[in-house]
Amino acid sequence: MNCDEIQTRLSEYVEKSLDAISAKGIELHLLSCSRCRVEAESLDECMQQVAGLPMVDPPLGFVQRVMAHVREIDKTPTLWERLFFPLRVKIPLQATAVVLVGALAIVLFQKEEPFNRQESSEHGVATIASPTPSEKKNEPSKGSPIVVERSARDQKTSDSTVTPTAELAKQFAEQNQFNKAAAATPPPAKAQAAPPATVQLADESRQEDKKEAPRRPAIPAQEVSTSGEVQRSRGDAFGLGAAVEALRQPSLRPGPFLVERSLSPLSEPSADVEFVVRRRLRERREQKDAASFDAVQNAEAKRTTPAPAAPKTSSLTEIRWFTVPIDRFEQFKKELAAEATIESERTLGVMENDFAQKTGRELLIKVNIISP
Amino acid sequence: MREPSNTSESMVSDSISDADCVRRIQHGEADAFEVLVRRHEKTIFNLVYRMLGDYDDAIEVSQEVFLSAYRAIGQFRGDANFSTWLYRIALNHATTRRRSNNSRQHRTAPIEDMELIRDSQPGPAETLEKKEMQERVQLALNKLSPEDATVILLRDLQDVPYDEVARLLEIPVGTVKSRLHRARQALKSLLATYFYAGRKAI
Repeated sequence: MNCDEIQTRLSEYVEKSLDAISAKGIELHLLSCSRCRVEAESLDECMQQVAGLPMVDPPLGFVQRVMAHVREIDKTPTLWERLFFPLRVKIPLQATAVVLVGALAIVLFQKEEPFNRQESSEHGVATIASPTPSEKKNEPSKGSPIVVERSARDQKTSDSTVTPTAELAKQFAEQNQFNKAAAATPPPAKAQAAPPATVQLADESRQEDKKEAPRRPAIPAQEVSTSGEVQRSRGDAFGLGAAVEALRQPSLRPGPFLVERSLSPLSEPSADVEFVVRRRLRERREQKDAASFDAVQNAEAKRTTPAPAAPKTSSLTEIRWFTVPIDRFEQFKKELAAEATIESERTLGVMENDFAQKTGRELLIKVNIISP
Repeated sequence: MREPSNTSESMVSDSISDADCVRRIQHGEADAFEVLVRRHEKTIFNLVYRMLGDYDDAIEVSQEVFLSAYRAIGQFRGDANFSTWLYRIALNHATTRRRSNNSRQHRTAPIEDMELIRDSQPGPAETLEKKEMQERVQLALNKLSPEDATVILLRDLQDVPYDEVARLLEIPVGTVKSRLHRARQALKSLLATYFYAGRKAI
């Protein structure tokens, strides 16, 4: 081994990690080579010096300081903890927020309700067609357009209380099925007492009488905001009548108001004209109906039959919306007056009214129906 | 590896192994970490201190080492010894600090400091000379590259076996040996004049 080879292994030799044979060879070389011997001594000295460096003590309280920081790390809340802790503060806070959001949602929903219905009942918008001789009852299937076509004959039939034809009786029977479904089930005892066919006829006769057909050319009108099936049948019951009932023929063209009024979804549409009408007392009408019907039908059966689809009188104010062409407004008003007592009439949005007249647009009419 | 020489501390922590402590900490028992800190504070602190040559820096960095270990203890799977894992964290922190100190020309322990020590701590001439030499060795270590200083400190100061050093530094044992040889040569050349001066004086 020459000096270069020796020197590369000196480090291991000095720390005595070489095998015995290699160590002996280097030892022999060092005896003869002073340069390598000095090198070995220097390396040894180096290692001794490093190994002799004293161990220093960490400062007092080092462990406590570290552990204090460790506990701080543990205390640092996670995102989850920041959201939900402390429970006694955050749970009531978050519960309050949930309640407020829920209340706001309900308020918004109620505000927007007329519009939702307006959209959903777009296809249920009705106009009056010219009176046709055909006699057809409205089909009360949910969501489908309700078509009411009255004929002069129908009207005549109801008014003059002519005995219903066999065909009419059949239709009455159909209508009665709906009445039974819509209204509470009639007292079974009474229903059994009277022959079913007779009962149905009696019911229908009254229903028919309540629905007066128009006697003049129909008003193309749109019911902007329907009140759903229940309210519709209620409307039937207190008979806002021809002007109301007959408005239920489908119109393919939604009035311009529909679009414009929808622009502010959080407020209900502002009517051009607002009516407050009071329902007529139904007893009077019913008595009249009964009397006329008795003339041709079994009076006993009629009396034992409970009032069908008509819901009980409530003090609730009903609001119904109509769109009527400006030139037909007076006609609409007359018919409304014929059906109910107009308590008050308020014309709003004069500018819009004028504008509508010029452009041939339709008036939005709000009818508040109050109980007798 | 050199175990803490303080026997009272050893008695406190000997009852539980490092692995047990780690398991307890991983199950949320933070106090078990105190056992590990007590057990390893001296070796870690000395390694860091010799890597940096500054006592205050050593306190700061050692604390960071333990806190880093605590934060990362969930990731410790027990593949290596806890001490090896802790050494690696310590060397990473110390090397980073050493590099940033060097780049900021934050030099340590000039000769004047040694004279201050000598003045403030009078003692027998032999002790003084020894102290002076220790300061020179520290200065020389500071001048080495961090890699060279690391292998010298691990092998010659901490007496860590070759294979452990190899695992720690994630290099082969042969590389550890050649790197150690090169580092000792570098340190020797830095200290040679003092050795000769010392011999001449003797």
